[in-house]
Amino acid sequence: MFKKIKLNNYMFFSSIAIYLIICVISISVGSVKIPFSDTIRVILNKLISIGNISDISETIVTIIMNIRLPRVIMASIVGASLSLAGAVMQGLLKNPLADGSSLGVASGASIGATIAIALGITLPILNEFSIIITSIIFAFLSLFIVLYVVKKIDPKMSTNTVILAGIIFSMFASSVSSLILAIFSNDTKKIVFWTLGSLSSSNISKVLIILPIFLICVTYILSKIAELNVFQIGEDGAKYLGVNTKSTKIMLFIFSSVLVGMSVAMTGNIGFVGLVIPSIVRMLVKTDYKLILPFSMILGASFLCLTDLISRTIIAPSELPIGTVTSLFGAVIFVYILYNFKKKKGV
Amino acid sequence: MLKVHSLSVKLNNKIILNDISFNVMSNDMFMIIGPNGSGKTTIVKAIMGDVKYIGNIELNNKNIKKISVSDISKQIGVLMQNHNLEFDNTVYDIVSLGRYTYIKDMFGKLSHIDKIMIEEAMELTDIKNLRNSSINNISGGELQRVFLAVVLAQDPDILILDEPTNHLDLKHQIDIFDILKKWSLKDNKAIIAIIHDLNLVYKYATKSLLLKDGKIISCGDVKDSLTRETIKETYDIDIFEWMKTLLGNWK
Repeated sequence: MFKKIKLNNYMFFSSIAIYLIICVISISVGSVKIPFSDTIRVILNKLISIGNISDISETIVTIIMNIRLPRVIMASIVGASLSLAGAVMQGLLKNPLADGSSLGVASGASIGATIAIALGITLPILNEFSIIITSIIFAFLSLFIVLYVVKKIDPKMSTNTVILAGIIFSMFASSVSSLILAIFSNDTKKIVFWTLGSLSSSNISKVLIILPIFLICVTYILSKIAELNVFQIGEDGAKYLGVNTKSTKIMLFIFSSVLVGMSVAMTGNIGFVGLVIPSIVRMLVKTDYKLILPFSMILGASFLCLTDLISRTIIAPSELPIGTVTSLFGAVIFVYILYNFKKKKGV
Repeated sequence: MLKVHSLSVKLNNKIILNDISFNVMSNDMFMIIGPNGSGKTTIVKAIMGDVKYIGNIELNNKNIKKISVSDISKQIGVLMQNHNLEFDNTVYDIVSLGRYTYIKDMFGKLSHIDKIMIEEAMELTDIKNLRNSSINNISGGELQRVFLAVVLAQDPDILILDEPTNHLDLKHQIDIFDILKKWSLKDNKAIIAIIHDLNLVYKYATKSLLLKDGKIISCGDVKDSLTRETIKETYDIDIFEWMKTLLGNWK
């Protein structure tokens, strides 16, 4: 692997700048083309009341504020969530191939979402949240089942067994979801949505629902940076160094399942983001979660905004499912990582 | 410092340890020996609370079950048997993980004392020149010294080592034991080590415990507990005759 670059504040801020540029491009490009300057002016005016936008037509303002901006924010939250969850799962399991999709968590969450939609389950009071909540519960349940089964089969929880179990579970879960949808609804488009993901249904109210959940999870996970660093020498080692491993591990698994579950509930199953992004970050920086977690989030957000842009423009006016684009990149990088990993281990 | 009293462990209805008692005092080099499967590692696991046991273990006159994970880690350090690191990091960063239990800062920022302890640990284990090397690019012997530095940086009172010199060549084995001997003579420090090489035990231990089928064969000062008779009882080998044969080969 190539030499790691030393990352500093300067690079951190420039990656944020790149992310913001991607956002502006994403908002401006589409069936209606909007000049970049207008996009920036509208957003600044609407969010922090700077400048005057009386010369920009009402339609453009509506397109930006009600359609494209929510979509970009949704893409950013989901991209950051999946990457963060992937980075955490990889760290806890000491497994470079772990993430929401390879462990079956995302497919498990889809079962929850499809059950809620197909059977029309709505929880009292929490009406708006019912899909999110069933997804999160199924996400955590899936993770628990996969890890429990692996622990029974292979107490050492080797990388290959974990991934194999995750992928088998994932296939099983996808079949269950498809079955539920096939039986209870005739809409095949919906099946595609849950298996390949889409950001097309993003709107402001959805963003407002998941933003607080996202912020709570991120805050908790970032407060466990030191523990994640110690986990790299193994669970026993971490305990002997003073980490309360059991509770830390369970809490981190819960919060990362919440991130994956809520992402799946909002946008369907977008594969490989959680695997690819942290892996790229790990190629760039050393294993220090103080760097890995924030960079994974920024890169994940940028990646999903960019792939969403590609998926909705490349065959316009139709839309490609975003999961197709992410999996296309993801599968290639997955193989590359696996190859390097095996070579390093000399297997 | 550490008192183990009537320790018994049963796993799946099989008795692993049977009525084990011993004391480890300051400046002890306490070495546990015995055939494979005699229960050596289980003693370590019991001390660290990783298996259920009957009996009583006291750390500085306090029941170890009542001490929190974080407080135990300030008093006992454990050098692990197997290290497998999936990810890439520098030697310095790995050694600094030993300071986890003392770090108050949320982002793990090291204090002045932390940095001094890390430097001392790297000095003692002679890995200062490797500080910026990736742990994936160093040799097995160096990696073992890095992990020893982690537990030394942890600054425990008692250091527990489970076969610390496994897979190391003779020169590196002696290096590690010289480091440990030097460390154990500091104020209020002690070492508990599981060792296979009887010669190393004889040379470095102050006390030894011979274990067979979960029972103590002998325990006490190394000169009294590690004898031709006790070794015969533990391993069914006459050590003197065996060594004589070996020595003959080097004539």
